[in-house]
Amino acid sequence: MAFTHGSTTSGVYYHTQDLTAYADTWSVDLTGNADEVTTFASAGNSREFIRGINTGGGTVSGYYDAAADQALFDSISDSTVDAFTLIPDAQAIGARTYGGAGLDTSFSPSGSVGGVNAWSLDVQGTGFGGGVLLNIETALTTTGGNASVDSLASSANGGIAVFHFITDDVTTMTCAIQDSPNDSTWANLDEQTFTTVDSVATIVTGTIDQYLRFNVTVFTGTSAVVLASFIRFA
Amino acid sequence: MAGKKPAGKKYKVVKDGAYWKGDEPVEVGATVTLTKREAEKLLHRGIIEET
Repeated sequence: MAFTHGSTTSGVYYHTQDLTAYADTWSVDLTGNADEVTTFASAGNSREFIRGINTGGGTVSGYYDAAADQALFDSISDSTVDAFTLIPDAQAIGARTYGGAGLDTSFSPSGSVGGVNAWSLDVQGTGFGGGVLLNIETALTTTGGNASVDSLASSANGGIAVFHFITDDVTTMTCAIQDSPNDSTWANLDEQTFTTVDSVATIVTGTIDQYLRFNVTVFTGTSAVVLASFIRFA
Repeated sequence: MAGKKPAGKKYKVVKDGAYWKGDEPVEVGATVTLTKREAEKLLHRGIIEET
């Protein structure tokens, strides 16, 4: 057993915002729907169900700050699907994440005379689940691939490639999430080129091989911070 | 007894920067030999084509 404390949460990201320094609470809801298919021919005295379409989302809340508030306020009124990532443990390549693509459905700043001003953000996932961290929040300055993550087996149902391009001093940066059957030959699952801060969560289909890595293939500029993760669909 | 290794077939890389051997990208137009299972994934992603 390796239980973890809430205080070990090392990352809360929505779109281009690193909310870690403003947040103190998070939760994720992943729902596996069960749809009823009971008929007159169903055996015994039991209803029958089959697996339906899964849904997911998350909630983050914390302390009010004008800079974070403006970015979140702007985001609530746009129609863009943005990336969302939570990291419950310490940031390391291969660490567990939750997140994916999401639309913020509620942003609620609040305050009272007796307490600290606060905010809460609800995100409805449009492709959501548990994944692995492939690039931590640290300044990148050149091209190159990270250490790989061994998922122990391939999977057949696709997944979501998640990028948060948080801060940049680059002209152009191209980076990819890649998979490999042998930790030797690599193929792009998703490749993104960034010229300014942004976030992308792309659903990919088909077979996902056993090994995963993050690889920067083009880098012109000084430095950039990108958080990258991949979520396999079971 | 060891199982027989799956036979490979040749394919052409057609997507720039999308297929790598270690830390080196395989150039567009290069020929690679892949098993059917390996090739299916890359064909699906548009990274290779049949030669």
